[in-house]
Amino acid sequence: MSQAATDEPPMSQAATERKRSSVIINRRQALAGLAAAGLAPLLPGRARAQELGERFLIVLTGTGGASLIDAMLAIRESESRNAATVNTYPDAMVQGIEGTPFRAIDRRLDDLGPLPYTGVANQSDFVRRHARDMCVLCHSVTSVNHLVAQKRALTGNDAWNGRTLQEMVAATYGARVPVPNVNMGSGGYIAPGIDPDLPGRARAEPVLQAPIWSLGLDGSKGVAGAPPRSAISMARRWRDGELDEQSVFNQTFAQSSALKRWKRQRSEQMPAMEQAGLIKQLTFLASSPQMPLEEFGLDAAPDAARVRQVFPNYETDPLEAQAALAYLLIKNRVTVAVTLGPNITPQVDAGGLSTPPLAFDYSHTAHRSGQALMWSWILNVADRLIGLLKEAEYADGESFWDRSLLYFATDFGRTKTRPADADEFGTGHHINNGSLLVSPMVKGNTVLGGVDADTGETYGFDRSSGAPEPGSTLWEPDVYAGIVQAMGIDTSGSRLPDMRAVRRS
Amino acid sequence: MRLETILIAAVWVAGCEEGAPPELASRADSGTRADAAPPETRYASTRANLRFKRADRLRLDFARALDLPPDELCQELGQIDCAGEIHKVTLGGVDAYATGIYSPFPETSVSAPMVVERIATAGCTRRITLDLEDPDASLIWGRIPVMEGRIDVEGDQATAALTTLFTRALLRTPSERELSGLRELYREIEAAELDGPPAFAWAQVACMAVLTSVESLFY
Repeated sequence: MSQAATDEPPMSQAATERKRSSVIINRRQALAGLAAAGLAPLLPGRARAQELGERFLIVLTGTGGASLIDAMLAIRESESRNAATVNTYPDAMVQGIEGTPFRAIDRRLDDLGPLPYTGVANQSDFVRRHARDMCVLCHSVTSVNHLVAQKRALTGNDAWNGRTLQEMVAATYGARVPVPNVNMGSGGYIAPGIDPDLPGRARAEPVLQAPIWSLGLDGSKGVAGAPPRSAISMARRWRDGELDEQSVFNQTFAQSSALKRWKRQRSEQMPAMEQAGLIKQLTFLASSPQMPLEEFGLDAAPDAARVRQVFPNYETDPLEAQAALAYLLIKNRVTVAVTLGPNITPQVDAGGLSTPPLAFDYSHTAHRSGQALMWSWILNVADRLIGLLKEAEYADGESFWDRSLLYFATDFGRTKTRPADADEFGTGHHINNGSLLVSPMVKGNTVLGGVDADTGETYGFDRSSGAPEPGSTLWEPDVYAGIVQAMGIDTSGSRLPDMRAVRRS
Repeated sequence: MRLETILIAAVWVAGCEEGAPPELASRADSGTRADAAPPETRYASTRANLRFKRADRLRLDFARALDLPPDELCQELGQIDCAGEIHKVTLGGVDAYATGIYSPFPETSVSAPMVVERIATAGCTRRITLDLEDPDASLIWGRIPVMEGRIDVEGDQATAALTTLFTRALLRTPSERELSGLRELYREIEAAELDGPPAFAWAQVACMAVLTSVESLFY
């Protein structure tokens, strides 16, 4: 046999390439076959990462309108011909972060306009730590209505069959995770897309209270006096196979899509989630008199202590609690698309107000202090979430962060003008703004587009080279395309623009 | 298992040892006779426009079926209302003021089947506990004679209890086949020799199964 093989005429280079590609395809097919057979854990680490790997989208919402010219794109007074009436900052207040195109506003706050507050707002720490993964896209949006704009920030204004970014990522990378799309957002950020052909598994699982949501991930564990597990299994078998199947109700409405979906969830997803022990894996609370987990036979995830160490205010700060859950969802490969963000309810702790009412929309009353505090809050939480994801190994030396993209979604910008030389003032909604992406998968340390210092408005860029193009405007579909393409989703046939400038080469 | 449940289960067992099983007869005397057979399917709906009951309706329906105040139906960690608060949006409820969810999600969420079982199990356990505490005022279960944690599942009292359960949960009487299925479920549980009295576990899961049947959850 070997002699015969060596007697074969030498292959042409093209034939050699064909054979090599055939070998690669066969290997991939084999790996996919192993995965489909539930043997993915048996694959070597690198192969699992390369061939079966998930990518993770984290959407952190700038609810109410996070203004980029009050953060990474801040304008110095000396740069503007209309400094007195455009939202520009004293030169000394705008920090340039060395080696980056980004700016930051750090300031001490003695009030939130008419509301009492004292504290320090900081943006520069985040920029220094993450500049190499940061990409700011300058663009405008098509609505200044909160709910409409929020939803468009996620659908790209229905850029691709009306699917949200999270739904698209869940449909692409969520085949092997139990709850592909978890949404802790609010308003338009938690609204579903409109594609009726979206696989049901990719639809968002809404989460209202992050610290205790996991309690709903098992049919009986933690229920006081619950019957033995095996008795429940017997009853489920009878209910699903006999009671439901034989009932006149079921026979009459057997064609109902809602009923079919329910039965699929009940027979496939529920057992998988219970067997995976999600109720434990996603619990990060410490048992206490207020939350008596132990009394109800519950315990926390193995890395709950680390999560609580990083997010110590999880009991009072809902964003910290959401970030803690987001980390566990990703690290335990439960979810590939997770959304978190502040809602419009102010947080009040023992020291008084800790976040403003209406989140970023408090800018109507006190723009600068509101923006400063909100940016500081969400950047600080994001920084800690990224840190945890960098600590956690995905496979073969690759961290979960290496496969994640954090999108700071926001409703819209804020009006760019102010009363002459006012340090605090109220602003309205404005379509012009930008978005911040942070990820090892985007072109880091980059501002795509720029700001006209005389008007405070941003302008666009060349979608391929990234060269700034004053006078041009990019819109929601460009942001959408940039994100899905950076995450490796094939957009051919979608009619989305090629946003090569956003991707890390 | 909580102390309350253990005590009730112990009372159930102890009652038999004294040879004085509580008299059993359901309040719903009219419902003690099961249908001979399930009605024939008359037609299959082509529109099949079924809807999940969602949080508020489920909460009230379960509470009514079990004759419990809605806020006593189920509380996570003994303190947070299940359907009224923590799992409300999961069950298709809205939350306008805090999270700006003004309209229900169009489809049931992936955790909803587990959540409805939790609520049903908690409510059923509460109902059984109350029934055993005061058998004379029992709604469903309290009058079934119990011997060492076991019952005669073929007996009239057990049939009456199951008929009451169906009548209250599904607004109809059970078929013979359904009664047979639940009796068989009891025998399976008894044979499995699980921790605790089999009669108690059976009552819990039978109640849970009926309350979480699709006939109970959709309309």
